[in-house]
Amino acid sequence: MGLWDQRREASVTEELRSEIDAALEAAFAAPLPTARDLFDNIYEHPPERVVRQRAQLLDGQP
Amino acid sequence: MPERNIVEAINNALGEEMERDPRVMVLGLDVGKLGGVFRTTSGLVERFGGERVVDTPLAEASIIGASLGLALAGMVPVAEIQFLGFSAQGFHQIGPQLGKYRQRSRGRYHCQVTIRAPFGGGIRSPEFHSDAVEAQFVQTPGIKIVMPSNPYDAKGLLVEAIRDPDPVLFCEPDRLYRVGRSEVPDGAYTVPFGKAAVARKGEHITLVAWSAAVELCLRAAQRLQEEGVSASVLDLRTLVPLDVETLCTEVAKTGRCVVVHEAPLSAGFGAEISATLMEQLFYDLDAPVARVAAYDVPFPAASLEDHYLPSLDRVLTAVRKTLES
Repeated sequence: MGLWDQRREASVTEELRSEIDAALEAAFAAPLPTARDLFDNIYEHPPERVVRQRAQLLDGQP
Repeated sequence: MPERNIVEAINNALGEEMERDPRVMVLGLDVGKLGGVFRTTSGLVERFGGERVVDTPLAEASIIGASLGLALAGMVPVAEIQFLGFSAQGFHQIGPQLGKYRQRSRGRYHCQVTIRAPFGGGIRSPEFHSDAVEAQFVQTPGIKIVMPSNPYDAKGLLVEAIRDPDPVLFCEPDRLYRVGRSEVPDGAYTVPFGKAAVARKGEHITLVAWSAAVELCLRAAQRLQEEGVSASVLDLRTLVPLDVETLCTEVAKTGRCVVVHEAPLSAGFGAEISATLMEQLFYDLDAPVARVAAYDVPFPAASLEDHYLPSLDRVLTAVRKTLES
């Protein structure tokens, strides 16, 4: 059928290797997570109790 | 008397029960040739063979479902789910199936199945591995929930679980698997379900916990002693059945209580403890029951575990606040 050959495999392998290398580089360059990240990206509108827990952890509020 | 850590105590219990009763068998991912992901089943396949120590695919629902069928056929399976967080994949087979089989069959059948599952934080495992979801199973009637905190109890409660005619979820604190040894006798003994243990006596406040949180509470009590505060520590041992009598007796002695658990705060089992104390002990309480738990967020990446889990500082803060109330 001509859908796959050694040249195509080498090309896709190289393409994917580059993609993975770029992803690893971005991951290593990213800042380490902090306690703040515990509460991020869970809800668009966090429930009040979660907001309060976040303040307890980050601001030492009772 | 020999000393064992929790891994060795569990291995010892499994081996002795398999010697005693030829119906007892073990199944789960890597329980045979590898000896279990934490080596709790090490050496069993060599002693009892591949028909009683069965390596299964990574398929929690199948492991539990097969255990149910084996139990109906007269075997006594001890299934291993490598981490409690992955029990979600087998949830239907645990709660709705195992838990209800006795009632659904009007008592004609029962499921003598023990499900062992390591859980909890502190070992820096990847996502889904550390989730403390024990309270989810408290809401599945028909299942007993066992939460040992030390080697002696781990063996005695596991023997009790294997011999119990009803299904038992046996949650193992992986953080404590190899933390210290204590005396664990050879030969079978049981620790009865529904009997909490006073891990430390105290006069001013009662800390209530189970599993690895007991160890945290004992450290807190030790620190509080240096401040002149005498804290007792109550190890519930089992959540279902819950030892309400000992819980109320111990909290009534001090009038103040802090519940500590690794599961998220909201609807965690600490809420059940708090409600029980309010119902049974309202006029003996000198302060509101406090809870120290994980936050209501997903269990985080390894580097954030220490922010998420109940810490010594958070327990001490809750105790001081409760004492001031």
